Amino acid sequence: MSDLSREQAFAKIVAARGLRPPGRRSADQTLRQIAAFFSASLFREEIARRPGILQGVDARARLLAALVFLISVSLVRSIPGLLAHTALPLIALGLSRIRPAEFLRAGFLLALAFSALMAAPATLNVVTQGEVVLPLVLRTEEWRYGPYVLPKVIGISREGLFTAATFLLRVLSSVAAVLWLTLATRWVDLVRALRSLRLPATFLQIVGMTVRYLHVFHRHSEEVHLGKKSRSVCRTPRSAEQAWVGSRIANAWERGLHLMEEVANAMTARGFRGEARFLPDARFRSPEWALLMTVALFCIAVQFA
Amino acid sequence: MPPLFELTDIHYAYGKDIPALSGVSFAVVPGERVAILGPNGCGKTTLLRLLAGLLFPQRGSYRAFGREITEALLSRDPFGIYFRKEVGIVFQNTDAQLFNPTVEDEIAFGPLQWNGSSEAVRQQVLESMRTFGLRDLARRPSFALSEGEKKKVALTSVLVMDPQVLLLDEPTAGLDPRSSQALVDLICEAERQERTVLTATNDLHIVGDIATRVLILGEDRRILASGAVEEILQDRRLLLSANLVHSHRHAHGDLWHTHDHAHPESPVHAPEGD
Repeated sequence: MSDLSREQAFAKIVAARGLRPPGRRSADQTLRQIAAFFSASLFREEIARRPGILQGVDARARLLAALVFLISVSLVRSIPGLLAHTALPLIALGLSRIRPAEFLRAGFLLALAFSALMAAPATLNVVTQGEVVLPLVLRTEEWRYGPYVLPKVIGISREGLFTAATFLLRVLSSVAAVLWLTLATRWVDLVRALRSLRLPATFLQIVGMTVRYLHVFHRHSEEVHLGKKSRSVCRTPRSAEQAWVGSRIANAWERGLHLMEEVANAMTARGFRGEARFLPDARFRSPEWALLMTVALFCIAVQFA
Repeated sequence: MPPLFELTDIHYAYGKDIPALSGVSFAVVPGERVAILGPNGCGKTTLLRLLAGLLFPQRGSYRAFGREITEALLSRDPFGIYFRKEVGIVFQNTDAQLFNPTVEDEIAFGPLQWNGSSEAVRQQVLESMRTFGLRDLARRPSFALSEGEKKKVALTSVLVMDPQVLLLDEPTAGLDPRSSQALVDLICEAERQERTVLTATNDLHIVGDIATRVLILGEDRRILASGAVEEILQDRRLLLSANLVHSHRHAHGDLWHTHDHAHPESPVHAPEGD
């Protein structure tokens, strides 16, 4: 039978049985989105490997610098001080060769939008009392109900603007610092850097292993999805798709339990007796001290300016 | 020479109805190099894990280093620590074995458990990475390693503890020929250091390099045969019955051949013309 007649014969079968091509189903799209999320966020290594000045600094120093910065941000009261604090992580982003689009997509844009939404009501004089600089609603008289007062003039107050700006700048500078830290640092280095905070060793070991095995399950779920897709000749009912997804979740759970036992055996075989131990970290070099000193002096200067 | 390991009538089953070993008995002397062959599901992995003290027989006796090995004994210091240090096992599934964030952490894991000084461990790890050519991979996370690199790291993470005994579960499974040969070279180097090495494998073509003695486990989970490598690998009938080679016919033009071989290429290749 020639290829063409073979195809035609098959087409007749498809038509007779009312089969439709698999198409793009919601389960397929959801899984792809989840995989893309993991690839883009949790497993992003490319930015951390760029030859930026700050990528060369030990992750512990970067973590400590970020913590000092966050504490300083929470203590600053003035708008110029907060503006200065917002500028510092943006400079760090530039020195780490992080592109603006990457930074915005990584969550800064979302933080900006959400914070602005939350801060907006605080600008009104009904929330933050004070001198109205931009009237919005003019009423004929004041309205009182118990402790609540609706003034004659409702608008944006000077004090409201200050409160909202303080909140917004504090959030944005904190988010910028955290994003800089997480974008420019590999997850394995960040987990390792947490040791410098004297967190419990067992907790850190669990976190490290969690990151490690998220990769394993991510890869496994991608392969399972592709394996199913490769044999999905035609469209199946939505209920069957959902049942399949449910069964894969259960299967992943079962595999996880089995793998957990295997890992426990592997740890026992190498002498593990319940106590997490790590290699000592290297001493700080001049780049680490330079970063810490720069951030510390900057924060102190802004506090007392 | 007194045996290092001595197994007598070992029985092991997973749950109630999945037998894994049925009456296995053999002994291994120090410095011996043994290949454990057998088809899938014959109990090779179970046997290695039993030897490593990760599983314990439901019937029979397992003696190592002159002691009866039980779960209670291994959980009592200091013999338990000594046993874990001296008996190293490399798993077939590297994902189970590589559970630390980076290669350096992985190699350091074992020595950190029993070596008091962290600085001494660091030096030990550096030396191992240098010896096994892993310095460039030191800070690499496990998920970013190729299969061959994972196997190498897994083997190094056990050898760094300088064990007397090395138990290898399908060390070349899934590797390309070059990676497979590189791993075999590492195993041979370990053997030259007078370690006792037991390797479970289906890969007949490496057996001659890594072993002097062969144990064949049959599909009934008992020892089918035991003997010198040359003697076992030349016994076609034995290898066929043990499902280690298969026989097939194919045509070269008008001429039909019957060949016995394992995949990949094995030393057993005895064409018989029809």
